Amino acid sequence: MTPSIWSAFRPVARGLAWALVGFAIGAGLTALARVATGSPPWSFELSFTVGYIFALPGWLLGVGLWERWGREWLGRPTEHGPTDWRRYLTFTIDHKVIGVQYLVTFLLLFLAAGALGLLIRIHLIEPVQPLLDDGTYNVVMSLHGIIMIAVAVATIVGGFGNYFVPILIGARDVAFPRVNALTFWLVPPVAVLLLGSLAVGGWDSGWTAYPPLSVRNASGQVLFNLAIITFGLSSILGGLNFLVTIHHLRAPGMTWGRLPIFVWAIYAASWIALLFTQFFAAAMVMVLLDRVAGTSFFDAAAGGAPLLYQHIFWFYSHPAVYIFVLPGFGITLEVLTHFSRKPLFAYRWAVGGFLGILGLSGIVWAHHMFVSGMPEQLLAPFLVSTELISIPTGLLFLSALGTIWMGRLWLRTPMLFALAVIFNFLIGGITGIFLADVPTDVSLHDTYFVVAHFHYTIIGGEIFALFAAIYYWFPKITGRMYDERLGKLHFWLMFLGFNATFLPMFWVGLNGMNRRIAVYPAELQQMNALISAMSLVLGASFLVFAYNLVRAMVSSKTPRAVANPWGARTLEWQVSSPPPLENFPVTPVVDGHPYDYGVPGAVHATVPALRQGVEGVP
Amino acid sequence: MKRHLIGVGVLWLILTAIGEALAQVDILPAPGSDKAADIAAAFRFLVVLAVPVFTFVVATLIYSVVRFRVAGSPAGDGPPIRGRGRVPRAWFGITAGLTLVIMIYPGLTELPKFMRPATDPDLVVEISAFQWAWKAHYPAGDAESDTELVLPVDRSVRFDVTSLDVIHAFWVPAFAMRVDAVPGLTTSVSLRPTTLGAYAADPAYRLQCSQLCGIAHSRMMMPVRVVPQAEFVAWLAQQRNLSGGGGASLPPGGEELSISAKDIRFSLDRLETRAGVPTRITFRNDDAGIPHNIAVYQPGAADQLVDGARSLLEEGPIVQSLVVPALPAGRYPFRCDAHPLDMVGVLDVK
Repeated sequence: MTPSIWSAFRPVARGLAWALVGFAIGAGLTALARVATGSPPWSFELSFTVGYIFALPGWLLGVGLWERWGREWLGRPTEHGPTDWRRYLTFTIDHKVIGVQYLVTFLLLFLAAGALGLLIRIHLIEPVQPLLDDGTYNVVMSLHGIIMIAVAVATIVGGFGNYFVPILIGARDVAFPRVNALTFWLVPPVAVLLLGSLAVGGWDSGWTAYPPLSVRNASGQVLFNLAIITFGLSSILGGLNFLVTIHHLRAPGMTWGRLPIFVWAIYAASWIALLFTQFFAAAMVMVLLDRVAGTSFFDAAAGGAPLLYQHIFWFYSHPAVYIFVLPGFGITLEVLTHFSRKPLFAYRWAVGGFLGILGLSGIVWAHHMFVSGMPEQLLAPFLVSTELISIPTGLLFLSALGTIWMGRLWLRTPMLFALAVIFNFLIGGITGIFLADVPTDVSLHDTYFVVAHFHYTIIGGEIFALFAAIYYWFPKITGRMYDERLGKLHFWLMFLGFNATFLPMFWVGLNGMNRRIAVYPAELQQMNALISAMSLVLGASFLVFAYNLVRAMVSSKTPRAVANPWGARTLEWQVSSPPPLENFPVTPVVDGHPYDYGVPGAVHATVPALRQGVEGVP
Repeated sequence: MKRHLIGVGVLWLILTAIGEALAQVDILPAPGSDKAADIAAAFRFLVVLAVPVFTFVVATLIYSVVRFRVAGSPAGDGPPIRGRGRVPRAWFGITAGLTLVIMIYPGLTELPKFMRPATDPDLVVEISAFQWAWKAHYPAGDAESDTELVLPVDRSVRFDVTSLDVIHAFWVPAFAMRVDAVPGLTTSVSLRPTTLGAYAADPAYRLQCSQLCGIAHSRMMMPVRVVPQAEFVAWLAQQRNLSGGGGASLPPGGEELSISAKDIRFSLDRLETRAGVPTRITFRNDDAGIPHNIAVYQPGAADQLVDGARSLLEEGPIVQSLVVPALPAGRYPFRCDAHPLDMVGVLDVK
């Protein structure tokens, strides 16, 4: 009997129901306490906050945590969920399913936030009498910012990290599969809060949410703060899970020196997530308390310090940039070496680059605050530490360039995206120097120069790598091949559209356009109109992408992918496409380096029982 | 290998020559202060240094893609070069050296010039920022301005900046300097305007908020004008006469109106008076600590003030009065200049 479509949504519906019960309990308790102290029972921000604190565990338990995990606490057997397509909508512990859940969720959020980006660009075609009113513009800009930040944090790490790290190190799953499921199911409340904030006026303080503005603005701010705290919890648990997995579940012979470079990148990013995310959450809690409990952390008139927030906030939010970019660069190096048919150049130096960035990431935060009014003696140390980061970053470029040099470059879609990362991230990196040097930063800070710079690092360095990864691993995940010509069309539209959109932003920034503005000086209109037009090309590229992938998934004419269409040496390509339930029937044995292309007789790893009979394996 | 190295080297040299030629093109706006000139020099130095780095990577990319690509799928592997020898060490040394250079200049050597407040400037201007307007106080002349920031050319100025509510940022594009305006703190920017200039001719002469501060953030702007010293002295004297002028007397035969502000709202969104006679408006700001004013504009022209029909932005509680001259019939928009989106209304002249 085929299960009905609706049965698939039962866990989600139950999660929602339990969440409502939790919310009612929280808001009810608040009402009792308020009535007891002589206040009106309902105060939106306080009641909502307490309601949410109870609703979140309700949601998690209802959506499957209880069935798959909680019953065990009472000594009862846990239940297994469906094994067909419906498992993608359940609290499943399979790291590959969780990886796909992350990928689909965040690609949808990426497209939604991208649409908001286009709305911003359409708005900015007209300098003085634009499309949206000022308040709506600020809300749209803030929403675009934070969703894209979430996409940047979680798509590669949560999606491809979850799917491939266990396989790449020869493990059957992550160390804590149920914690892994928990990290994913914390995400839907984040999306609901961020989008739901629109119902109560949104929030207009940007993703940086500096107080005192974020203590005074519309109530949507409270939903933002709760969303970030929830998302931070997910991020911390995810980081912890990857670290334990990489430390303890490597297959025999998978020494640290033989770890695929993408795993190293996730390893470094996971330390950052584990060590720093709580600072963002703490800053959010403090703003929340200032709003609902009347504390005055950031109220100067009551003894608070507005600058305190910026220190705590950037203590996470600068390292966060490396949570975006390190996995991106890991994928880039991974793809470059396989598609150049050469060993990864200066592997140990590249690992040193990742770890060096990890080490420096925690001592550079205040370069975001050069003009914030912080004490002068802090400027020089942060200038020095920030510029030091270009040394380990340079090592990643060394590895990339050395790898393609004298290679056999196979210019398939993933390779084109990986090569583009080198170019885009180069521009992002070099323009970063201008912002790290205080004398130039005082002029460029908070202008479109910064907007262009961080889009070059995040889109250029991470999102291009994300698409490299999607095309690279699509055959492995789905067992189907995408269309190569459409893939290349997507690449060229995106590469040209991206550069034509963001390169001119440096110019408008240098010529007096500050960021986060709904109206701007009229003499900058021509260049802004050009930028807006080019952004539509960038937007159109994703239609090609979506069409290509959806068609490959649903069309019966799609060619099936063999186990190893790229002839790559790492472990995920030594199993079938898609990989079997527990990845390997027998624990693989690792005998050598993963990238020994051109080395006679070199073997990376063998999976004993799969050695024969799998298509594409020699 | 040697042939390829020569090839990529030649490509690098060509691209670098083109890049350095392009780097001579001036893309920065004309500097309007001593600091802006220093910044432009630092910017150019970094560009000149960045070009060979950029072209090195781009040359290697282009050369590799053109010369090392294979048609179809690769038949074999490339040479197993692992990069464990001198190349990474040399790369490390060169990148570390370049980093050291930019750390020293323009980083550390220029730093004190930019962020250290001048101790003995020719002029001090106290800037207060609030949602969503600016006010400049000139302690030396005991004068205030909230419509225009006027400065003498070739005199050193220190701006002492603070905020009355949320974080804003003081930024004049022509001067290329900025600092945040933080409630509870006084931050400062010191510079010397070096050329005459005015917003009317060059939009870079504007005091623009550059830190997101809420709804009307992008409209939080005050024109800047740099004038000869003598003109500045005259302007300052004029401003002294304007400030504190609370009690305008009602000319004979005029109309009398009153309006107040509370919780960032006017008490009325429509006022009515007769054409051809002057009108005295008494404006009471009941918002403690929040600056408001009332200003009447020409019909259909959002930035054209009716002569004299504007009071100074002042924190409540305070009562102001102003006289609107005799006007022809029409609908004249009025607003609070700090809250141009929330506090608006129409003066109906019949």
